[in-house]
Amino acid sequence: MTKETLRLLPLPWDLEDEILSRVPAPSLSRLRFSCKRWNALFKDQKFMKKHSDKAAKQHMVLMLSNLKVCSMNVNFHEIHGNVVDPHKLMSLKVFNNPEEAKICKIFHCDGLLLCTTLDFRLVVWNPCTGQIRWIPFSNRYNTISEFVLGYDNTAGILVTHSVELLSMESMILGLIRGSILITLLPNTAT
Amino acid sequence: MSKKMIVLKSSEGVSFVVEEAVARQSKIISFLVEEFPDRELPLTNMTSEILRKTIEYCKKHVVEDDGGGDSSSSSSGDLKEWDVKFVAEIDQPRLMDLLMAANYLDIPSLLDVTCQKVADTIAACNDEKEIRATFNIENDFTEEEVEAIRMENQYPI
Repeated sequence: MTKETLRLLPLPWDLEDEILSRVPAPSLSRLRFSCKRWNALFKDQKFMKKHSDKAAKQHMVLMLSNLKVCSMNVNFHEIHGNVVDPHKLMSLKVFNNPEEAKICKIFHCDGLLLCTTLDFRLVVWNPCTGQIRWIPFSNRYNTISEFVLGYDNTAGILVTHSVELLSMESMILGLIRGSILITLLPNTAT
Repeated sequence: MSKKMIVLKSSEGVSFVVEEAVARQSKIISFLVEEFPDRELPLTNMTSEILRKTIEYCKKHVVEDDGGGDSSSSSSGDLKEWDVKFVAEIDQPRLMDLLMAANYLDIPSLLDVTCQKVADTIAACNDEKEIRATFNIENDFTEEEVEAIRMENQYPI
């Protein structure tokens, strides 16, 4: 009765969902390229809700530096005695955003980032899955504009508002909800 | 007062005598015990090995209900640690069998720890190739389709 490898395929789909909904958010993007069925899960609202309920919440430290978003790992195992090597303590990984998108400000909610860019465009970004949505709001804000990102609980959809134009502008987005908490650090670049 | 025992029979016909409280963590067994008291329950799709493992888990997780309730019950932290060790010691094919057994017998906490262990195995893979190799998944994407998903994820120019 022993099987040679661990196999997911003979599993009923609901069990497969049970497993995949527990994969931590930072590892989700790899699932998309594994097979078509798993990729389809990223558009499945029910699965996303389940993932948000079941996957362990993780902290991810992000930093906006030089118009780029970096994730930061803090590795306390590298502290010996009282000697700290900053290079080992913190490793920075620049997210894969090409030169075109220079990010100025970030507003966040539930693991999703709402970014304003240097050329006055708006984008919502899930840094874990890499999914993005551009918001058709271009050139209608200036450098001091502030935005908020949140959920409309009655409809269960993601909404973003411009703080100044709260009643006027609201965008509905179909992005998935990343189950991570994000802590933003102030821009340390000069 | 002696504890009520029930008999569970594996696919190979091996009988396991288990305290009823232990076995009742399975919602299915709990139901069957009420419907068919004093009968041995055949679990034809579970091997002795998997049934033994399942019983081991249920024995550890049974809530001691002997009135006193302070001495024998493990703290939840200890129990979590025990669970982690329990699934870590099982090899991967058997882990899948145990997961199926937890689903079949309807033991939510066992299903949770086994699913989590498989999810952690997926998360530990470096890329989609390793995931496919580990789980024997066929790559059903064409190169164009992969490229299309990548484009979806990228910042448009």
